Amino acid sequence: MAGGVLEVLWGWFTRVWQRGILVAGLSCIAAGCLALDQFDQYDYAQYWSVEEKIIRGLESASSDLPENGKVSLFNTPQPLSRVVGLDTLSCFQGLVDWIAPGKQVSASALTDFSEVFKLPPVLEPGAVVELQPPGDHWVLLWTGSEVVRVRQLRVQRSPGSGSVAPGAPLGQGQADAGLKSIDLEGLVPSEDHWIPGPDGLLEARWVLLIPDLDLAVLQVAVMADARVPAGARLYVRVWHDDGAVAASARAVAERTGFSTSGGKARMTMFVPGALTARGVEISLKYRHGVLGGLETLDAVELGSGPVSPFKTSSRNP
Amino acid sequence: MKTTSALTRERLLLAALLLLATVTYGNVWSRGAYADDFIHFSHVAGKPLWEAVQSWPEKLPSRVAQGLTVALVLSVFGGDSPAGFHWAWFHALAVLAFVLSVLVVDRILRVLDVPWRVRLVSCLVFVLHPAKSEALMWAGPITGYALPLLVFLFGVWRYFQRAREGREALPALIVVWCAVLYAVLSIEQFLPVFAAVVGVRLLLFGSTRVAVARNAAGFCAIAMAFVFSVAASGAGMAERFERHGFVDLPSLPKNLANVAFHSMAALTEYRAHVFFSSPLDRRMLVSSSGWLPLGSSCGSCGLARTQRSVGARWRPYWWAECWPWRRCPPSWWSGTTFRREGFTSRYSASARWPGGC
Repeated sequence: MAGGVLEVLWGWFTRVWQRGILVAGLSCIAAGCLALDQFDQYDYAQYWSVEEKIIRGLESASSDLPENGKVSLFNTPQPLSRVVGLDTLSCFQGLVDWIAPGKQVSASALTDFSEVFKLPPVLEPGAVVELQPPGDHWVLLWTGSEVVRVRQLRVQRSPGSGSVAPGAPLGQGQADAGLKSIDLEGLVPSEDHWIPGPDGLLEARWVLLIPDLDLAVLQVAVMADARVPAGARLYVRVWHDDGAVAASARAVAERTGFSTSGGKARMTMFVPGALTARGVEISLKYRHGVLGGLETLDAVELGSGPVSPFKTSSRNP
Repeated sequence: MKTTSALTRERLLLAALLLLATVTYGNVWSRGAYADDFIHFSHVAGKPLWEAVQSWPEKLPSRVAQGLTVALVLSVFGGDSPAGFHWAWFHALAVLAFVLSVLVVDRILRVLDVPWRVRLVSCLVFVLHPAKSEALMWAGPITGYALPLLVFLFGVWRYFQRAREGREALPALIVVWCAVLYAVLSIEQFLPVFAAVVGVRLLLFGSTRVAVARNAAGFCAIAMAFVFSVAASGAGMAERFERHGFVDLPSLPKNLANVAFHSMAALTEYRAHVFFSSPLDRRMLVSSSGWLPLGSSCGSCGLARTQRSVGARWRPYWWAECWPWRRCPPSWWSGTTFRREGFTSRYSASARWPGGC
């Protein structure tokens, strides 16, 4: 079709300069398409570099995987482009089945962190609790550079105002062949950070901070009722000391990592760069309206509550 | 007759285009598998080939041939273990298949006497349009789209070429139908496309009763095989149709327009969510890669007629004149005209019109 259009224009434009403009326009479009294709290649390569490490790590430890056991993968990086992440559909389950066929291992990605490590509802300031997953449950965590197996989580409630103190070095656990095992040190801020929205649509709480990995682990719950329309998305924006802003978005749906039960869609969100974070905003937005064939987003401020050291706000459709 | 310099120019430009296609998608060493590719591989891993193909409809009903392709890919490139999969070679095969597809698209348009400039620009769009980059970099679409597309295009090329040359023997037709059947059982969208291809063939290359009966029988056989594979796949099919929809011929023009305009819109908004943190992340039509060649040829046909009506300099394509009300070449059509205009004169007058004019 494009060829036909160009041919017609070629017939109309008889002067040299007109045809020169035509060829130049086509060349610009071609150059733009070429650039987009290069971006795509880069994104696919970046995401594969993560998945390849997960595959190599899991395969090297596959002989130790428990029969009929369970594997949970947390904090999988989200690809930038149209690549679907490991945390959607049953992709991680497929990966584990491919690596360890016949072991009937149940695999899931981005489930509720607190289901694996059950924090006590009340933790006195300064108290320490050690949490381990069940023996047949492997907990894998992407640290930003590699995938590690978490054997133990040692959590201490901050005795002070909630500011994050430098953490102790990571405890090195027993290493499986090719898959590094670690014991995590976590810190729960001193204040209770449950922030319910005015209508109870969105709840957010900082569960713990892992200074050694520079990660914040955040529990988020969205009411799964008629007030939250289909296509609602959760946005997390993080401000850092140096002024940098990081943002991520995720559809509030089971296929994108949320577990829905008890009338709520729950998910654990991992916020990297937590040590230098000055504030976080969590928003619930939804698609609204159509403009020129392109869907736009609209959001209405619902309310906000300053939370030390982070700020959390919820927006209501 | 084309001059040697004209042929050399066309071939050089086509070679440059194929080189561009290779360069554009050539970073094969940096790509691997993504997301549901692992589901595909886990479904066929450790199973004999036939058992894997038989069990595939449980996973993806109506796409039996994709199960065969995935099983073959795993057996050829799988290596000793998942970590040892030869991804670079696999993705190199995908790029090679795509480059060959570009070449075959050019051949198809040439059979239809599309001028070299139109062919070149059509192939350029086919090469560079980012809507199909997903189909070339993702293992699942490679087995589901890129490889079947090459087989389908190759079948269409031979189908048109033999029909035009008047050598449409039954064995050759059966080979074409097998290629198309493989494509249809990989991606169901090829079935309506093939219906359009059969219609174009009967319209342009002579439609005696025997030819109509034979081609209609071939298409019906492919459609029946498709329906049988769907019926045999059992449960899950209804859910799949509910999720993806199925052939809706009345909306075909709308879908073609959507491909064209949605692609243009996608070009403007694409990457917006990366550059400007925009929340838009719409997925573009993967199947555009299948529609683009068809759209290119149909668009060229229609615009050629427009070209004539606006008094352009070159003659309209001979096949644009051959609508049902006028099946024979117009009186102005002659080898002399084509030689002067630079069209191909590969086919003799007697071979062009097997039905006789």
